[in-house]
Formats: sequence, structure tokens, C-alpha cells
Amino acid sequence: MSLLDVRGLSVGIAGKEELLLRDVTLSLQPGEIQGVVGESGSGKTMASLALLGLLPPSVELRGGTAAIGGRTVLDASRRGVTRQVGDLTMVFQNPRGALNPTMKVGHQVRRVLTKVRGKSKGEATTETVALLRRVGIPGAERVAGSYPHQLSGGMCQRVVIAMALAYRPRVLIADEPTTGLDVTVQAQIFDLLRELVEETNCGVLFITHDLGAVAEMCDRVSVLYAGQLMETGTTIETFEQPRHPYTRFLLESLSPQESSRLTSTEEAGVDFSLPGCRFAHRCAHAFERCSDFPQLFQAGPQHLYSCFLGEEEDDVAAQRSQLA
Amino acid sequence: MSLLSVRNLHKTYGSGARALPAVRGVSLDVAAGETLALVGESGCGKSSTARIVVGLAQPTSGSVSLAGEDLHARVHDREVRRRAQMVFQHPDQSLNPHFTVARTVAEPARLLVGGRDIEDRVVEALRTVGLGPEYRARRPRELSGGQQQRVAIARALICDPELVVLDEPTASLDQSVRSRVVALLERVQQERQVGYLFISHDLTTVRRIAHRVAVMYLGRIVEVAPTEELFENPQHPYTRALLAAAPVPDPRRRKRVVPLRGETPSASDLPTGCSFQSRCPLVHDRCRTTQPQLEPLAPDHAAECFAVASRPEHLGVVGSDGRP
Repeated sequence: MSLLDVRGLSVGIAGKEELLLRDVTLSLQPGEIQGVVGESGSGKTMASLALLGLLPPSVELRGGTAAIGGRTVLDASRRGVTRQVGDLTMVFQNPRGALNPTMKVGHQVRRVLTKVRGKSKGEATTETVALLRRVGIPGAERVAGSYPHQLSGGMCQRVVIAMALAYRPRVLIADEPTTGLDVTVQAQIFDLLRELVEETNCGVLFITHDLGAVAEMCDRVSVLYAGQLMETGTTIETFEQPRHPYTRFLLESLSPQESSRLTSTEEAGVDFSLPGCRFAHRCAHAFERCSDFPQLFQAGPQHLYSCFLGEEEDDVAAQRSQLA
Repeated sequence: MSLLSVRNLHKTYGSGARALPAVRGVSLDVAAGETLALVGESGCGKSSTARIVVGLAQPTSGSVSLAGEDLHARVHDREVRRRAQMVFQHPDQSLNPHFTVARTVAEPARLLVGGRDIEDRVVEALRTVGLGPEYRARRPRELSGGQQQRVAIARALICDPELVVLDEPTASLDQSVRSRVVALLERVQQERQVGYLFISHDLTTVRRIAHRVAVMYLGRIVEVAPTEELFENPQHPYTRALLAAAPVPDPRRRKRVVPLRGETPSASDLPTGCSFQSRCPLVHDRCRTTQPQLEPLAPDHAAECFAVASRPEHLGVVGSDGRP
């Protein structure tokens, strides 16, 4: 059974018909780091906010369910479904913005321990220093008494990860956790996240637009475009045998020879009102069926993609093999 | 003669106990039609160097000459300023939100060159960056990030400069947009033989666009080499760590080593001797007392490290993963 199971998640702007996320399905195993990739506006952050129940007031849940460890934590058709302490937490993109600027960082970690985990003040203080040390902060006692503005971006992100550790989540959402950090520090934060997963066997949704980071970190990857899940599979399968034209596009845009002939997403624009495949108007392989919404097709035991083309290709391949 | 020649540049912010030496003896050259990339992590002094090179900041000491003329002696001379232009990192901040695209692009031409054909030149500059004349009346908020950066590039090109300093021009853009902006910069360079000083921490983009690369650490250039030589045969331990830390978009080439522990020390609290000593795997006694200088290792390849300079036979033995 999956640790996190998201089915048919749809969200839209209140009063408008278009969906910012359409029928998104994700599943995450314990101890797995899954990349969620997509360009600006693909809905990767919106999906995590929906899971956390932190959607902006103008955005509403239109459909779908989410379960953690088999227990429903989100159901668009039922009110009052709540998460349990320890289900889910998030490491945000901008660590300085995620910390309270008026509170010493040690106190912020300690509050998680006292308020969420019910530790006594004394226990919490000792554990705070241990946690800060655990995430590789030199001089943990001194840093615990510092305010966020006194620390570097890398240090702030370590504090945020220490808070996530204190929370002991079963599912951790890391939203671009190293954007704005230097590469040598990024390598250290990646290492820390891997250790965290090995130690606690939690699952991580690793949101990023950097395919290098996905290749480096993730067991599996899910590709989003315009709020639609395009493809999901193991990292190696997805990189080596991408089935969706958009995944191919993303991988090709990494190569200097290919990229100059591709139209960037920004120039092409994203149309959230399309009834069919949202990538169709940019897709070199689009055909009449693409005006329908493609369901997920299976390319392997763990490899799914949302494109009619693959089905056609499979048919052709099957016919060929019959002929041969 | 090189187009841009910087000699022994120093820049110290503040004074006395609070002095912050941001740039400490940088020398570099850029030829016409050449791209020199300046790479390094936050706080290494690359942006300070960039601002001094275009005359936006005064150096504490040292000289900057552009086509043989001392830039800072004639910094109020419009002709000198015309020759060196800059593109900033965040186009949403570097464009005046109240100005139309036409006014933004026309401004340098109006201030530095004058003449009656400014409107034609605006259209021409926009055409160069791939924007049609219909963009003239738009304002920055009506443009995407990639379009905004194109406007910023058009503004830098309208006076026909000889040198363009690009400070992280692609950092805030999606991958597919980034590739197209880089292709645009390459085309402009081929057409006009303009020299680029390309500031970046994105090594993939640097490898694609630069002819030579200079690596900065704490205000000094620690290694400079032709691009392929630097990526294939890095010598300075910091360069090796930096290259090893950058994620590669290939899940089969995953590396689980953290190339560098700790963080860059503060520029206000520099150790005597080599500034990299606190994180260097090759550190020995001499590094703690004496500042190494850039020593030539091969044609056009120099590094500032005792460990490398004393072992010339070491050259060529380093693998492409940055490890001996």
C-alpha cells in the first residue's frame, strides 16, 4: 500500500470554470523521494498547497481525495476531513520567509517539539540543540540563539529542515528546497534529505524545475504541465524512455543543439480552458484524439503517461511484431 | 589588444573594523567577440566586479580600461559609457514598471547618443531580441519573465556597445526560456563581435556560452582557463568541488559524495594566507601563512594554489568528475 495516495485532485479559481489542477494522481511509497517537475505555472506548488490545506482563498478544491497510510486526509466531497499530527509537513522554497523573523531560530524548533510532540521545555531544549547539530549546523547552541537575519540562506534552510525533523512527518513536501542556495551548499542539503529519508523512512515529494536535481535525488518522477499529470515513472525509465512528448521536450531543452528550435512554454502560453490534452497545441504529434482528455496509459509496472500517441505507437509496434 | 582589461582591482565596502573586502586583486581580459564567464558562489565578489566594470561603482584601487581607455577616469564621458552596458539578474526589478517598453529601450540611446532616429533604433533593437514592434506600448507587468529579459537585452544593445556585462541573465528563467535567451545572446555576439562578461553560477549555461571561465572565491580569481579545459581538467580544489557539486541530468551518473563541507567564511573575517584553507582538502602549513598567486599551468590556464603549482605533473591526472 502506498504511503501517500492522491487521486483525481482538481482545483480551480473560485467563480471560474478552468481548472488549475486537473485530475492529478500521485502515489508515494515509504522511503521514496519522488520528483515533481514542471515549469512555472505547471501547478506543482498548487498541488502541495492543496495537500496541506493551504490553498489561497481565491482557489477552491474541485475534486479528488488524498490518503496517507490508508487514512483519508483530504476529500473534496466531504467537509471536516483533517490530517493527523505527523502526517505531512513542508519545507518551503524561501527559508527566510518560512521562519519567523522576530523569533530566535532555536525557539522556533523548540515550539514544534513542545506544541506538536508534547515534550517538556527542558527535553525540548536539549533536543533542539541535538537536531540543529544533526542538520550540520556548527556551533548549534550559539545558532539556536540567533535570529533568521543573522544566518545565511543555507543555515536558515538547515533550521527549517530541523523543524521538519522535529515534526517527524510521514510525508515531507520539499518545495524547491535549494533554490537560491549555492551548489556546494545544495549538495549538502541534498545529502541531508537523503539521510533523513534513510533514517525515518518517510516519503518525500521533491518539487523542482531542475532536472539535474531530479536525476541526482529522486527514485521516481512525476511531470506536470498546465496542471495535468503528463508522465510518472522511475527516474531512469522516465529519462531514458520518456513516453510523453512534453517529457521529451523538457529533456531536449537541456541540450544546446535541440533547445534553439523548440518553442519555450512561456512563448507558447498555457491554456487552462482546453478540454483535451493541454499540451496538444504545442505538440508536434497532436492528432484529432488529443481534443479529448487523455487518461493514464501504462508503459510499465510503475510507468504511466497521459497521451494517446503512446497507445497508437504500441498498436503499431504490436502490428509490426505480428507481421514479423 | 583586449577590449576590456582589468588590472589588480580591489573593492572594499565600509572601513576600519567593519571593512568588507569584496574584491581583492582581480585581473581579467575580455577580447572583442569573446565571452568570459565569471563563476562563483554568493558573496564571492562577482557582482561587485561587474558593477565596477560598467562604471556603476568606483573601485577602491586598480584599473579598468575599455579599448585602451581608462574607464573610471572618464566615467562621465557618454562615449565611454555607451561602450559598456549591463543586463541585470532580475528583469522585473531592473525595468521601470511605469515605463513602456519603447521608453525603457530608448532611454540609453536618448541619454548617451541622441539623434532623431531613436524610434527606428528601438524597433531595430527589439527586432534583434525577437520582439515585434507591437511590444513598444507594453509595460513590464504585461510581459513574461523571458520577454522582460529580452527587453533588458534590447536596452543594453541599442547604443551598439562593445562590451555587455550580463549578471546572471538567465537565473530567474525556466529551462526552455533560458535556452532561447542564451541562443539569442550567441547570435548577437556573432553578428556584432560584442564582448561578454557573463556572470553566473549556472555551470551548464556557462559551459555552453563561454569561451573562457574565471572562477572566483572570496574576492579573488582562483582559476582561469578555456571553457572545455576548465570543465575537463580543473586544477584548483575549489573549482573541482564546484564542478562536482553541480547536479548532472543523468540518473545513472548519480554521485553520493558531498564535495565540500562547511560554508564560505565571511569576507569581513578573512584568514591570513589562502582564503580557501578552511574548506580545502589539500590544505598544508604554507596555505595558512602565505597568499598563493595565480600561477600559469598550461597555455591560458592558471590557478592560485600551492598544492597544484608545486605538482605540475598532477596536470591531466584529474578525472572529469573532479577527483584525482
